[in-house]
Amino acid sequence: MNATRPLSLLTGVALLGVGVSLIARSLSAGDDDDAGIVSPLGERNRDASVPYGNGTRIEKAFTIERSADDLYAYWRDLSRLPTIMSHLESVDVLDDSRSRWTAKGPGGFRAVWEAEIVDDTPGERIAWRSTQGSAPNAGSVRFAEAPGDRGTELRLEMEWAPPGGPLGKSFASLFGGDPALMVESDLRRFKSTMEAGYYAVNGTDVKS
Amino acid sequence: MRAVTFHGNGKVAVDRVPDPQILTPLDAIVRVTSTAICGSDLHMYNGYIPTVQKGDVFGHEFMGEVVEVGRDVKKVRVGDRVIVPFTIACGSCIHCRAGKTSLCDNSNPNAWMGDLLLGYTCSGLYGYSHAFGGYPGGQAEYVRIAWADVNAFPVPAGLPDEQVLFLTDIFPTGYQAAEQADIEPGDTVAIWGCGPVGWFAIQSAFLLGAERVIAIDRIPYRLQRARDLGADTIDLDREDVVETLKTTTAGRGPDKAIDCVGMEAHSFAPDSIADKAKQMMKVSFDRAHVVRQAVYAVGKGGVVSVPGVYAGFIDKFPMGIVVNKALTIRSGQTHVHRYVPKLLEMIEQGKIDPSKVISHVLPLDAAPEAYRMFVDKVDNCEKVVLKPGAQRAA
Repeated sequence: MNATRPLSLLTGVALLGVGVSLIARSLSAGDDDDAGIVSPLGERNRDASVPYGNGTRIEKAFTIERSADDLYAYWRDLSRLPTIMSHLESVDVLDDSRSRWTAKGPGGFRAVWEAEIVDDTPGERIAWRSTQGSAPNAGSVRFAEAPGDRGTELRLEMEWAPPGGPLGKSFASLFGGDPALMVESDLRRFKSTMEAGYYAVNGTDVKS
Repeated sequence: MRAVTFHGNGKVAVDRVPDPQILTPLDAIVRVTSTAICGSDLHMYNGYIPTVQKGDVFGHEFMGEVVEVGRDVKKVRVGDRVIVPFTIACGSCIHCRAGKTSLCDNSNPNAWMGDLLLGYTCSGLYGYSHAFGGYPGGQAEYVRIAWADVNAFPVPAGLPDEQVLFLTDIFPTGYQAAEQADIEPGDTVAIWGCGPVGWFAIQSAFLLGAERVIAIDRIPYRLQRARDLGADTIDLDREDVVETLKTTTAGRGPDKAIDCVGMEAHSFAPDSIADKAKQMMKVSFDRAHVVRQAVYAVGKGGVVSVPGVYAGFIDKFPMGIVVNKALTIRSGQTHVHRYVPKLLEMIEQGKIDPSKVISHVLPLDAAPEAYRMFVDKVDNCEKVVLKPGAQRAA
């Protein structure tokens, strides 16, 4: 297994460069309309983290048998997220809105980024964007009552750079698979943790 | 520990495997005292269930003594003698709360595989493929139980293992099959398959008020066992099933039909031969002769209840008959948890003696021979119970 390690690290460093340059490009886009960028809320925003139209977009939703307030409260304590999100190593809360995220992939690959919360509506929504680091991303998680006493609908939307193409693909594979499936598995672990105390494990299969 | 593991189609062995560990604070470890081979294990053994891998530990009908509990387990205690439903429930999701534990949202660690196969994953099952959770099964010396307070049911000391073991699957499965057939007074119920689930379904149909039960099979000793329960029988190798059902019900047809056979139906009808060919070519998992015949044979406005296991897609399904005869089809893996208290009470009251389904009690080490015996239906093999604690005869 060690044979792949130097390569992964090397690729990781190379991607780190790409990520930083993306942010640099997006920040320096200035008045150029073609380099328009989109915020998690959808409107054009020169300060957004993911260049418009270039990110990988993921949208997943689950219905959870808990109140919106409970779900919001668990999620808002960002430092707890690594327990359900298998590819996160840690989330350090820096202040009320800023945090530092460390993700890990196979072969010792690591990505680190800082994020800020741009919309925080208790019991309803948390939206964020990355401000610097190797995995530019932005997104929101919303909580709304499901019809007919069926719990709460959680909807997560997020987008991350770098964009598609060979580099983008290898970025996803560094995390060990399909990012949409990763996010789905993470959300399912969140649902199970909130509903049943713990998420299911079998001791044999590797979790995705 | 020793456990029955899959070694490829038609082959199991008793291997040394790692002991199970507590993986979450809600788990328990059970030392297995009795475990049974289920007809649905034979579907895996014969290679018809997707995502079964070599080395997987089989077994979903088991009971024993709790030897370890996680720190958050509140009700179950070390030393409790428990039965464990084969469908794993979290106890908290919307389906578990509604008593439909086989639809549990949270108990399949490989939910994405379940989603892929089924659209939406169902509950995890012990020892029944990776798509259903990859949980090591109960044909072993020890098993880890997830959400132990929800899934381990203490049983009275006065009842031997042989009386309560089948609360884990086949008794509730036969009972649910009969219950969801909505049996009414005066009903004639036709039951395909007189294996262990059929045996319980026959008795459940009578318990739920059926006037008459007609049991269909091709194996003489199974037909005899059905007659012993008070059922009339049809030997499908000797009689025309559809015509016999029509005549014996004076043209009404059976009011309710129950398919206790599932995906490996035996028949020489053309549809069944085509199904077998597709199964062998791995184009299809299922041979669906029984459910097709049940739809054809059941009376107008009837219910077809399907506890038999089907894995994937079937074709030539007579949907026109379902529509025109206004049939209702009911199915599902068994919501075991919902039935355990009621059925345990029936056993205590002597209304049913589940131990009579057993034909063989063998040490765990005899599993390879036991599987062959059950597949080949030799020595009147009806139901095998394996005892991990017993020594094999020299």
